[in-house]
Amino acid sequence: MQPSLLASALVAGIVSGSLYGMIAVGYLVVYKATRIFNLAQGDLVMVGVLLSYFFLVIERWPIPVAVLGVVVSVVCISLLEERLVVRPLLRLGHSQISWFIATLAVSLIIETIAADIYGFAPPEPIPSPLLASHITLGVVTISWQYALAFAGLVVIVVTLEWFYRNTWTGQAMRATAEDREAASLTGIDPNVISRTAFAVAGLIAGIAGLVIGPIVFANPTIGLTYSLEGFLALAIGGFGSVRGAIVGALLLGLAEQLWSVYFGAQLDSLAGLVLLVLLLAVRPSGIFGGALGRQV
Amino acid sequence: MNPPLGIGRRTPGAGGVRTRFRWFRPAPLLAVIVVVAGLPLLLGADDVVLGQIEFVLALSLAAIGLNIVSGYAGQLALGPGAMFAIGAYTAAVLAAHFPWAAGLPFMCVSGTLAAVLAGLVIAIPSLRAGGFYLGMVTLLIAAAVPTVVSNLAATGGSGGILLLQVSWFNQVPGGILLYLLMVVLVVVFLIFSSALLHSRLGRRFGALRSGEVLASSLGISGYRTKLLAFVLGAIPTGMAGVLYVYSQQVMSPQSATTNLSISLLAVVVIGGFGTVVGPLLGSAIVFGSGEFLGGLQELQGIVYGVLLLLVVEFMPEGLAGSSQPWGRFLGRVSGGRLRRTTTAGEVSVQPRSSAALDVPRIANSNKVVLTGVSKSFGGIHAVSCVDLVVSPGAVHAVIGPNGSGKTTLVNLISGYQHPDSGEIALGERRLDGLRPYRLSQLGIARTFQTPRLNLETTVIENVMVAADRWVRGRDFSSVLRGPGGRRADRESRARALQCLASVGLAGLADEPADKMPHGIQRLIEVARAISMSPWFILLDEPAAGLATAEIENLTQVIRRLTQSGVGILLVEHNVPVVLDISDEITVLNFGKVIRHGSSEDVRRDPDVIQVFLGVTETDAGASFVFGQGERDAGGA
Repeated sequence: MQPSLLASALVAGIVSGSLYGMIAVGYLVVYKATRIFNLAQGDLVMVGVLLSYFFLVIERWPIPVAVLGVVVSVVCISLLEERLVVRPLLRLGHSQISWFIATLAVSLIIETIAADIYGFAPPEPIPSPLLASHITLGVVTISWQYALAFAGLVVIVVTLEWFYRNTWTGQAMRATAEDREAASLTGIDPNVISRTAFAVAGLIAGIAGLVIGPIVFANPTIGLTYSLEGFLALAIGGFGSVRGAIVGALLLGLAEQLWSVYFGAQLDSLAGLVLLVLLLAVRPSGIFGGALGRQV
Repeated sequence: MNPPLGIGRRTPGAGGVRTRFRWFRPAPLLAVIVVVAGLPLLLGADDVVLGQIEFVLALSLAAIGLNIVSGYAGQLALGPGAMFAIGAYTAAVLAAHFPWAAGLPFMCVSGTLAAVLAGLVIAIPSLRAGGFYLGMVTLLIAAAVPTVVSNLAATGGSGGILLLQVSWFNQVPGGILLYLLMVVLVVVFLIFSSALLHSRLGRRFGALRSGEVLASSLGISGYRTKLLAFVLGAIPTGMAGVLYVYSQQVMSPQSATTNLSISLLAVVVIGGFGTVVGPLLGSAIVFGSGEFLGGLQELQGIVYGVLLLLVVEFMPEGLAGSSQPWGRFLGRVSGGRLRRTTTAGEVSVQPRSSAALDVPRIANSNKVVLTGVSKSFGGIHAVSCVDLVVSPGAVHAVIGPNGSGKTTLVNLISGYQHPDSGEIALGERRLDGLRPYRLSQLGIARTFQTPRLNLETTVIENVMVAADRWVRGRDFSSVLRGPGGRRADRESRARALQCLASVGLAGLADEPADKMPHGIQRLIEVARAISMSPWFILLDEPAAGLATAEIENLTQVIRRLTQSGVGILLVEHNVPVVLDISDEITVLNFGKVIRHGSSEDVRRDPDVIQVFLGVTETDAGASFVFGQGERDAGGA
């Protein structure tokens, strides 16, 4: 094997790992605050990609306006989901099955609307607003878009850590994650927490859509796939911590790329599943796991 | 093993006589089916229309399978599309290669077998995860199947397999005959599904659906029970795949997308999780509308999505489980899950003073011995260095303020938590480290502080699920209503009734469990524990929420249990009760034993009085009311 081939596979792995990481972190923000695994998270990213295509390529908005437009729209959709679907369920105290189905239904609705608007046009690449130049590191050339995707993940994670540590809302969300009842007894409004969590998750999805837009195709039916990949990242890394999510996501991205280098690209989507099944046999709670929580 | 049971005559419940629940009412069911199935024929449907109906029928079989796993056993498994596809592809590939494999009977057998095997292969790793984790893993598998088959030459790649082009494949039976055959098959599986719901196995599934904690406290292995549910669910799902490919004569990756699995989930949710006819009803709505109202393609996803959201929020029981008139009608016709149709009237306990209780299995002389047991949660020492002995035929009470580690102690002995240090033994046998279901099988039963019951069913079924463990009988004979299974179900019912009678609840046997007030639910748990013929029963606050007469009844029950040799560990706040019936009392505070002795010793102990009341011994006269005072303060 050529070292350059392997190296570019590794770079590609880190890039797709960055995407999965951004989805996984979005899941995590919501899950920690509400104990809800929002299956529509991948669809939010998909909407981010489609909107950045629409604003940048079709409408030719200036970049800052387009960026603002994408982020605000995705946050609004996420908040709409919180208000119309999640909050009534939280209030009624429904079972896991109920909200699993509810968020799956939201995913279905978003996908259908997106597909109806996008039409049955073939998936389109989105031209990058960035320079077409490359960064060269030894044998590897990295395009600016790839660097941007990885930078997106880093910025999101660092900002999130800062938010959790240094803002009152962030600390309240951490407290809620530790112990819901105790948190609500200290006067933390669970509605504010869930609303904030969905806003932050929407923000993350919007940014993810913007930075991966130039790499992936505009495809309205990809949302559920994204959601599944994000879950795989969490399950591999170990449910509950941002650190686990990032490690899991990068591992997953690398595994998929290496799989396609060695076994061909047709079945590369199986790499994650194989990894997960192996992991379930050895260490069901994931690499950094343990926070899955016993239900006693 | 089971001595003749001296069952008293059943006293009717205070709310009036309730007829016993019937799992199968053939006459109305058949009438409905003949009318509905005959309608297309009367209207002169052609082969195209019949083909469309057959498509809906095949998918309703798949939904019946999903309902067994998700509705009955409560496992969020979203991969029915995988089993469906594997069943269909196996039958189709074999039929396309071998002339002798192209007949419907062989295809049914091969496809269903393949689906069952696939179910096992999928279930064995993914069942290590539970809850939505299981849902996601199975969804991933459902997503992987179309990718795999479209890349395999054997399955015809992305074009799939066209049985129409196979020269030796003839659709015999076909046309109206095939349609009728499929109707019959759907009815057969509906009856099977109803029979399953009201069998030993169905009761175990119900316990599992109500929570793995509950199931394991009854000696039910969650893993094995889930595996069984997966296998049973794979049978109709695989059969559905076969019938689909036989009727449509084509199988391609597009027929087995993730959307199929999601649609099947929608079917079961809209029809009614855990109901018998729900899957059929849901398929008619979801797939029927897709087939016959094809013009709204672009809106379909939105319509299904909104429909799902509305059902989850406003009608979580689904159409067939609804308490509206139509839901009740469907429940009656199909023998579905019990619905809340009767008024329980005034619920009352009718103590039966005489009657010795069912004696435990083999006489036991071993004690449960705890030596230096400690357990911490983070920095909190919930239980530290506790020594404690529970002897057969005696009541050992553990009292202490809230948060003193009493429930943790019960959890440690029953295996829900494992000690950090120290050991727990029954005679020679180490108990610490064993799983809850093993401990319950070894003869250590428990009740829960917050009653854990299967609220979807009747009082007696809640006890029968535990009694089943001690009545010899085969699961499948019970499902198929074989003579052995029927006998076992009768025995189990008799045993459950006797145990209910012993706590004074015989009159409420056939009432819905969710209608019962809190205090009665506690007594049901006690009856359930008794029905397992345990050596030891750990009672976690059994008297909380009981009325005076019920407490009197409960102490009688505990006395009779100890007379027949059962050892009791009693965690209780009601101190007069504790002082009244305990042989030994251990007082815990902040996880440590602060006093141990007979009830007379403890009653007089100044330390104990101080812990409970915060008063010194000069006020010791108040010792008798402290239990009452704490309960009021706690707002229990």
